[in-house]
Amino acid sequence: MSAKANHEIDPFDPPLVEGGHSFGEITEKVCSVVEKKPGKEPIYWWLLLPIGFTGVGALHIFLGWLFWEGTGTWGLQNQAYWGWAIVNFVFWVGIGHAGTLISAILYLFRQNWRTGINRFAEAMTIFAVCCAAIFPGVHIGRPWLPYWLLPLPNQMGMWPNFRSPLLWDVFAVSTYFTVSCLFWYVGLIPDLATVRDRAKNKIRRYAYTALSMGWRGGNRQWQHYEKAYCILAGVATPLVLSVHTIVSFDFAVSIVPGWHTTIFPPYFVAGAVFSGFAMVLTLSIPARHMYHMQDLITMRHLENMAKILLLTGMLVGYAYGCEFFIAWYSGVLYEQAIFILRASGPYAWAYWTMVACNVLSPQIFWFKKARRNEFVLFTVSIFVNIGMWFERFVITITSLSNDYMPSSWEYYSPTLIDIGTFIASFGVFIFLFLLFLRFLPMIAIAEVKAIMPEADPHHHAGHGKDDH
Amino acid sequence: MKWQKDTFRIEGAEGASTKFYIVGAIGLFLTALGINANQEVAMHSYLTSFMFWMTIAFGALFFTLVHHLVNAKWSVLFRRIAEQLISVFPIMAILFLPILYTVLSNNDVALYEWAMTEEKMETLDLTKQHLLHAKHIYLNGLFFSVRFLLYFFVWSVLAYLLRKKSFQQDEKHTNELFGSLKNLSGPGMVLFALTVTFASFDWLMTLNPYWFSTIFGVYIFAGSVVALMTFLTVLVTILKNNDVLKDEVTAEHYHDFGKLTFAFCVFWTFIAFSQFLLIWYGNLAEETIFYKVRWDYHNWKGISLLLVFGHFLVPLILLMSRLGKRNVKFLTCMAVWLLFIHYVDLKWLVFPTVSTGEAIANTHQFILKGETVMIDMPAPFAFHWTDLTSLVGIGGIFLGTFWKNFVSQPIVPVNDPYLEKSIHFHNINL
Repeated sequence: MSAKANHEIDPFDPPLVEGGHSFGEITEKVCSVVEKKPGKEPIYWWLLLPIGFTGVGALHIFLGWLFWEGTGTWGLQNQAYWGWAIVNFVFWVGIGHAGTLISAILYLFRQNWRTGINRFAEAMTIFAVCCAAIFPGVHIGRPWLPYWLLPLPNQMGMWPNFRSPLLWDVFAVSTYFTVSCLFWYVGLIPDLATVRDRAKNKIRRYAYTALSMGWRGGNRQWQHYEKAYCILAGVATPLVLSVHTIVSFDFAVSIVPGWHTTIFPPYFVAGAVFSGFAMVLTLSIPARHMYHMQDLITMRHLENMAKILLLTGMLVGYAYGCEFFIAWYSGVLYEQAIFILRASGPYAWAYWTMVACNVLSPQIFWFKKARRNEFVLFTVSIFVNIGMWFERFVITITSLSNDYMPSSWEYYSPTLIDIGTFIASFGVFIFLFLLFLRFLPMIAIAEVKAIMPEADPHHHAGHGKDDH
Repeated sequence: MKWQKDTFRIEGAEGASTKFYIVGAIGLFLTALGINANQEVAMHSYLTSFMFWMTIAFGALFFTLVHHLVNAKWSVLFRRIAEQLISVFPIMAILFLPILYTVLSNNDVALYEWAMTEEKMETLDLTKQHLLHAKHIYLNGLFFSVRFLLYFFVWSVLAYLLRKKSFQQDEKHTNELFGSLKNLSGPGMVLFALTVTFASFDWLMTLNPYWFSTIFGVYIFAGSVVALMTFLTVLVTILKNNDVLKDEVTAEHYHDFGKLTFAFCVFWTFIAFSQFLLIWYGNLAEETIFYKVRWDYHNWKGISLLLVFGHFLVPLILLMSRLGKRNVKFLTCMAVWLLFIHYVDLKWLVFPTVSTGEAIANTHQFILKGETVMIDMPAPFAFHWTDLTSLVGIGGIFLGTFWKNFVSQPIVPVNDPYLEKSIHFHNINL
């Protein structure tokens, strides 16, 4: 019997799996996507694939040109020595935050609704971090010496500058990437074993056998697995905070007006979660239709994400306000000048785009109707993606191009190479994400089953009222 | 004290609130004598104690709002405690009046340097004068009073509505009523964030009117949640020892108290460290002054280190394990320790503006906006008898009000649909 028949639906806590599916149906629903014959993918998949692939190709061309010609091909100037590269880096790293927040922090808070979306949020995280790594990686001036970033002992006895937050970034992002991959993979193992067990042809069986590392689903294995998952969640939680904290240090430790402010670390973390969730919405709304997953990624999931957007959007709004107020209150002329310039100077259009997208647009989520309307959700998520890119643009460019000496001010404009590289990085992201959808179970099958009422040891098929 | 298990009421304990009030009145009277004797030290004690109890109330307001917003279930048993704690806002507004009085009477010695008269301001360094003039539009008695009224108005109205609806739910639960609590909590949270931030700026950050930090409001918020969770732990243990909620509250609930205490101790550290590292690394004199006075003079270095150990490392290590969080005695001891440390944290924020009293010999040069100015050297960190009297005085009134309301109603929301879930709540055991 389905759960629905036994339990009255609590309007404040509706079920997370709709449609009265059995365990078997859920396995079938998720695995069948992976098991389709080549060529049987949904039409949208085929429409998006060339876009992603073109992006990957274009990225090679743009980066090739960059390596050949040097960073002069970018719109960098005397003051704005950090242009789109850092903006794009922070943008992508920020997007990479939702995955680990959902998988680690929401896991520790026992937020069961995470199970519907955690798998592809984590995948998204990893791909976003890959995209992020491109930009500082190609910006180091001598791209054939990237290993100098690492504290490797060498004959020259050189060490990187341990006091620079840019080096902390190397450690923070690589640690984050490693732990995110581990976490994602550990979560995948039981589902990979399911795909293995259902495999009908040899290649598939061998591949998924290797990937599932001998998982048999025994009692002992599950016990160890759950422990490992919990410990990994504990390890990953501080990472969610630390990565963007250190990214914020890139700016805030310097005494550039507009950058040096103590609220930067929590403000950046909130912004990262904000942009990450926006991207999860941008991806999950089409994906649930493309693969008919509306029963597993329900309106409730989308509504919860909308609430998180509202919360984190207001947190960044709080930070904008605090910065403005304290810039005035501090009595420091340069701080005041930079904030007035942001709001009314040459980049005012970018500043107000940022405010409108990040602070104003999520306000519509005060209304339940908007939170449950996919069109509104998708539109706002796009706005937020745009707004969060502009936030990093405003921070980076306004403070750099308007420095202490007005005679050296110059309006920053990107070149076609800047724009092209950024757009191409989206191609990489889309391409990797499409491959993920095709080859790995996009929803954590085992975890979704665990939150269904039937999985509760106290669940009695016939005695619906006895529920605790 | 008699525990009525079936109605969730405490009977025959109304007298305790009178005792709290009497003790509080004595404490306040003694503090008044202290203010008469040494207004600077005694008023700083008073502000510290006031903030100590206020932060518990801030934490309780946050707890109530967040409980409704996330549709929490485990914490239903403690919702009423938090709701009764926030009933103290109106009386706390009255207890704020001495602080307001120092501002309105242009008494710059007692607490806020910026409250000085125009004539006196002219004796300051030019840089300081310039800054105080520039900030005068915000830092003046009238606007300060208006903001004070606004904060307490917002908190009191929020508390009134949250409590009223909650008591209505005790009579009859309806989904509309339950939903309206949640609808109120959304905007309530926004108002909470704004008012607590600006109250922290007004009452604590402006003690040194030349210093500023954008994260300051978040710092006070983080400490407030630690204060509430630890206060709740101690209170629930006392209640349990008197047979109240003895069967209902189990190690599972303590486990969650412990988790939240742990989480917010670490969050406090995150905020404190962010502020410290950015100021230290930037090394701008107008910002580093905050840490300089809390490090270079007298015994302040020890107190700063005490916070690092007591507010971070000790809870980090001791509360990390499951064992520590589920042991009632141990967790209660930790809670008492953390309440003490929270008090030290507030005193660490407030007391460096107490000067040694020997102004000439004890001023140090300091750079502000590129100009050399003189700063008063802080007096050593020490506990004064007014610390105790003001803590007991304000605490007596705070607890008396809380207790009077607490015993007048069932001590849990008896008709909350999740009450059973809260009582039988279990943590996942891996």
